Amino acid sequence: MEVLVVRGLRKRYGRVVAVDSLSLSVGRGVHGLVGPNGSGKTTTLKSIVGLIVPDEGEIVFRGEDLLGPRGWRLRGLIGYVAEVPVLPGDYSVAELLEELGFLEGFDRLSARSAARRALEEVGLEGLAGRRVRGLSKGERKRLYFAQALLRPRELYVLDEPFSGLDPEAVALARDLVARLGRGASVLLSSHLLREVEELASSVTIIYRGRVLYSGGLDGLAKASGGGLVAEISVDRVEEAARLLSGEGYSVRLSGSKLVVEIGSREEAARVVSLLSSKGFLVYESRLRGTSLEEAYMRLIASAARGGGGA
Amino acid sequence: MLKRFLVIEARRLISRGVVKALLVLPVAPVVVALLLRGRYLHVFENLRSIGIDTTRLWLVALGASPKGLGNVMSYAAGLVSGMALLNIANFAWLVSVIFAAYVFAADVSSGRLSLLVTRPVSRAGIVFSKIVAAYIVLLALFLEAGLAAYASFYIMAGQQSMPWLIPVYALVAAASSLPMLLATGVIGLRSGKSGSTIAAGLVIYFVLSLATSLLVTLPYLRAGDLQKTIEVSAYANAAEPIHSFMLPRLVLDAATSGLGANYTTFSIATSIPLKTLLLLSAASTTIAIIGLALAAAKYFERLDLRIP
Repeated sequence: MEVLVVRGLRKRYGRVVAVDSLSLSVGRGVHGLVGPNGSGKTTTLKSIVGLIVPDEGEIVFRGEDLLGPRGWRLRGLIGYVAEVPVLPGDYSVAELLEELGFLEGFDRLSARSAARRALEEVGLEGLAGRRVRGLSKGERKRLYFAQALLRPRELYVLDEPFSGLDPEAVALARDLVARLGRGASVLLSSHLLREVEELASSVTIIYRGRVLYSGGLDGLAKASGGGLVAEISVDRVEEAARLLSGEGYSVRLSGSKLVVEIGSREEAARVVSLLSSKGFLVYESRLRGTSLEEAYMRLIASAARGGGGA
Repeated sequence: MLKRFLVIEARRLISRGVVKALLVLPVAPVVVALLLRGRYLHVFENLRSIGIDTTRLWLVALGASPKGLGNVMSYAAGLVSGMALLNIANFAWLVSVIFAAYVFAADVSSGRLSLLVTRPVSRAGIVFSKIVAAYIVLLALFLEAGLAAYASFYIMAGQQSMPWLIPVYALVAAASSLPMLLATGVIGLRSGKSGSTIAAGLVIYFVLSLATSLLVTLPYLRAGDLQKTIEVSAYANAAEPIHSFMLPRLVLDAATSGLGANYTTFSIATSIPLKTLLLLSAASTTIAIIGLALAAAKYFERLDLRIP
């Protein structure tokens, strides 16, 4: 069942169309939102959480129009983490969370314990008394995360939640997103396509404000025109790549591996045989579907050339 | 939920350093009065002994017209003017501009407004909570200013009359500060910068003041009566501009002199009776508050919060 449905969203800033007729649906679990810088991801997310007022379109959450006159009543069910964690510096960490908790309906005592719990979840419990202006960028990002966790939400809107975090905090945030996705809906915008692929079951790819693809990860290969991929570890990898290119295969290098697009399992066996017959030493070969990154690159390249999306 | 927003907004405003300083400032006249008490006590005792009423001096320090006090003013004009300069009530326009910068602009740039907007409250609710919270804090400030004016002249000149005017004055002064607060507040919402908001407030105030002077002197200037133009211009400069900040002064004048008298400099300059001026000012202030509050709410409904 869809928790969030966005239909025909459009937003202009002067002459620039940031988002154009954008539609997407988010069900239970994690839904990725990916696209190049300036493609309209943040505008879309800010429209959903009420920070930006779209020019046209409909945002339906739990069957109710978020842009309607009573849409604000549902905002307590949506948690939002901004890409840039700008927070009022003169509050202490605990004061800020307690105030926001109070505004969400907690009494003073419950707001305090909700703030403490949220800080524990993001690993900031030791900084409760510190002024926000004294926090590092990564700590502010975690604090922004904490305010979204003050109460369980039905939808979490996360705009680049991993940016500005150290590796340890990225791991913590990744686990947190995975956990949130098990009990609620998460709309996750990120440039880290591997993280998105690992966490999300569906994805929307946007480019210049328009949707190129929106749907399950399993449908990406077909939509992007990709199919199976053989990853082959081989000696003299560049020479092997030239050979396969000469034979008409689409080949690229990934570290010391060849990544070859193929049509079937049998074709993979033929490629390995060809390499062996030409004297190359094949150490390992693995068959897999098209990755999010490959589909993304293919779709974006096609759109940039003027092709349509799926 | 709106009540919670109101409580939080009022607390937030009071927690700001500049607002704390503004809340301490009204005490200044009382401190000065304690220092000057010995020097002036006998002057006022002498005046009283010859039957002159010295019980309304505190009202002049708040902005009431000194003309109604006649003889007293010739003896104590310097003192009363000095005390008026010390009283924050006479800088209500500046206070409201500063409040606008903190209530609206600073919240945009700090990211606090973005956090508020993503909570379960309407945007109009946020704006109205902010306006009411600002009114409550302004009310406290002007109550303090009224008490300070009363106390300071009580210390220097003995018993003062009409203490009931303190809450009336505070209610009116706080309300009359709202139009300027709202007009500059909208600029603050748009710019998200406290400095620009304060600068815009100053420009609005001085443009209104200039417009007042022109409005008052233009009929005489057109008639070619230069002497009257200069005379009226002097009156107009002495009077408050024709905007909401005139209202508290008119209320004080009306209460002290009776509605029939024309003690207000502006009233004399324009030949408009005090009663008419009071009604006009009250009506225009009310319309300005309602109109600007609705305009601010409407504007905020469509405002994109792109910071952060």
